[in-house]
Amino acid sequence: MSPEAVRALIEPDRVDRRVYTDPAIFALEIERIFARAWIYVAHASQLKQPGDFVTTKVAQQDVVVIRHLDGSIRALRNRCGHRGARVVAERSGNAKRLQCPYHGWTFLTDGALDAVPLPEGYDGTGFERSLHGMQALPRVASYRGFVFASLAAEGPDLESFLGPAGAVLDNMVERAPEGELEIAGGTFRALQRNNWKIYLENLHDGVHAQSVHRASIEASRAVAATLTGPPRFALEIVAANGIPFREMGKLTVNCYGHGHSDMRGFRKTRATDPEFQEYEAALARRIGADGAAGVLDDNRHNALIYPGFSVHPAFQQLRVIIPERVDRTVVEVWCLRMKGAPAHMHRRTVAFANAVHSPASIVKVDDLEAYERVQEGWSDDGWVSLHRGAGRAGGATALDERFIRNQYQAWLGYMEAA
Amino acid sequence: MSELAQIAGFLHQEAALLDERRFEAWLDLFAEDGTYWIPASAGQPDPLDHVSLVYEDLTMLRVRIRRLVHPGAHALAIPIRTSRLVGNVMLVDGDGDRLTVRARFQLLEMQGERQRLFAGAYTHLLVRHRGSFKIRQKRVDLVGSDATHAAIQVLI
Ligand code: FES
Ligand SMILES: [Fe+2]
Repeated sequence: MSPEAVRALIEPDRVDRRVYTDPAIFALEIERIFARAWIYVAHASQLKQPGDFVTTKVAQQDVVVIRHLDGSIRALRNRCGHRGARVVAERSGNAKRLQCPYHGWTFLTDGALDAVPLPEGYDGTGFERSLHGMQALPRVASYRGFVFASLAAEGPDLESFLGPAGAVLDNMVERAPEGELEIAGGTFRALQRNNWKIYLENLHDGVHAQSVHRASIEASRAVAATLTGPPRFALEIVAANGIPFREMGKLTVNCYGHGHSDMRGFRKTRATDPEFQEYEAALARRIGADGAAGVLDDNRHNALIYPGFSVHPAFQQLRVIIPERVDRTVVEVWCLRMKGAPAHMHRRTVAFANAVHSPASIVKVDDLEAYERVQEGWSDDGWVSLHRGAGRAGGATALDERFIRNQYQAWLGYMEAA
Repeated sequence: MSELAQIAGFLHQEAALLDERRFEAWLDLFAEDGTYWIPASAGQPDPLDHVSLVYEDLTMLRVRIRRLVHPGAHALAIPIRTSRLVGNVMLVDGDGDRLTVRARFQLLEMQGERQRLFAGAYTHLLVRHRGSFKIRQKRVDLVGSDATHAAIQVLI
């Protein structure tokens, strides 16, 4: 696809619907966006010991992220240097050597070929051992424990890629009384029958909530009206989608380079109950009361690290967006535990994940339906409107589509470069 | 009637209430402090420190049920029908008034033309109540609980 053809798909306030439905464009996105950007692959807490590994995908390639014997983190194509079999089948584990199940070749934790059976069979054949390892991804880098990898040898370093959006990850870490996070509490994966971008375009969409979530909002309000006593966490989370447009219109959405963005406010993140205060006191022991207040008042509801990573800082959630086909996306959800925080704080994190991100949550199911209907709704040529708030000066809010237009700017940047 | 037959009858009745969409009556089977739990992984040790597909008390179950019958639940614009079989009922632990019951289930879901099968194990913690039982906890261990799931809207 020529740069001109790509550019013709995107206008300042609308995009051609084929960017969501054309398998050829999807293939190009994998090649030009997901294979070039920094993709979140693991959290360092999952890779404590040499040999600790997790498996994931980068631009549709199976990847093993593993701590090498020298302590560095490596990302290897999960593909044998012999005939290409997938070497590791587990989602996580520990191995000092990776062994292919097919003919038993083994690899070191940096991917180098370690041993082959019947080595004398290769005598005099010109077989180059160094060319038959598990291939390492050209670049791996960590930012505050968040490990990213890239299939591209060239490009901005991780810190410049994140830019101002890195502050969101800083804030997540700073919320931990010991200044460190760890993956804890399990994971789930939601299957979405929609293009990956439809999901990203919902992240700061304050307009959809009232209609898409109407049934669960009204159900939660009706039940709340029958209750006495202190507010119920899960109930409030479900009901929060019902906040009126004028309130949504106060929520700032910041757009950054490379397609990243974040949204301020939305949910109250400083609670007044004794449990939360115990946590706040623990945080204050490290950074002082003012410091703690500053960290907690930095109320970013959620953030997008384009193209495949989203976080909820206040509730310590990670979401990894894995594009599978033009109309199929998997979203993985992980929780982080704040080290040094009272145990019940992690229970809030878990309760939030259950209420909002579980594929069986009464919130998520209606979102999934909406995304699917968008995907199904396009049966002919046409344009998708991104007009809301276009051409207007001033800061964007959750009622604008500016963050989506910001994503398409990044999209064009990647896709035009052949 | 043997105790096991009585327990099996209770589970069959519970399944029938769900298939017949008599959700309020289903909820009445729970004790006031009852919980409904679908772990997100096999052998998940607890519902508080680990994420679950569903872990709800009666308050949240009331919200869930109201949504299920709400005309504005657009993901249910095409209604879901279910049919479930409950079998292999075993009394694992029966200590006075508290019983632990294990069973297997299969649940067929149809929404429009889309058909889906869920299967797995139920673990019911029951207490005796007026000649029958109340559910203290219903735990549903799905086969493939940690697999990738499309939206799950039915009560399992
Ligand atoms: S394919 Fe891996 S050893 Fe042959
Ligand atoms: Fe939503």
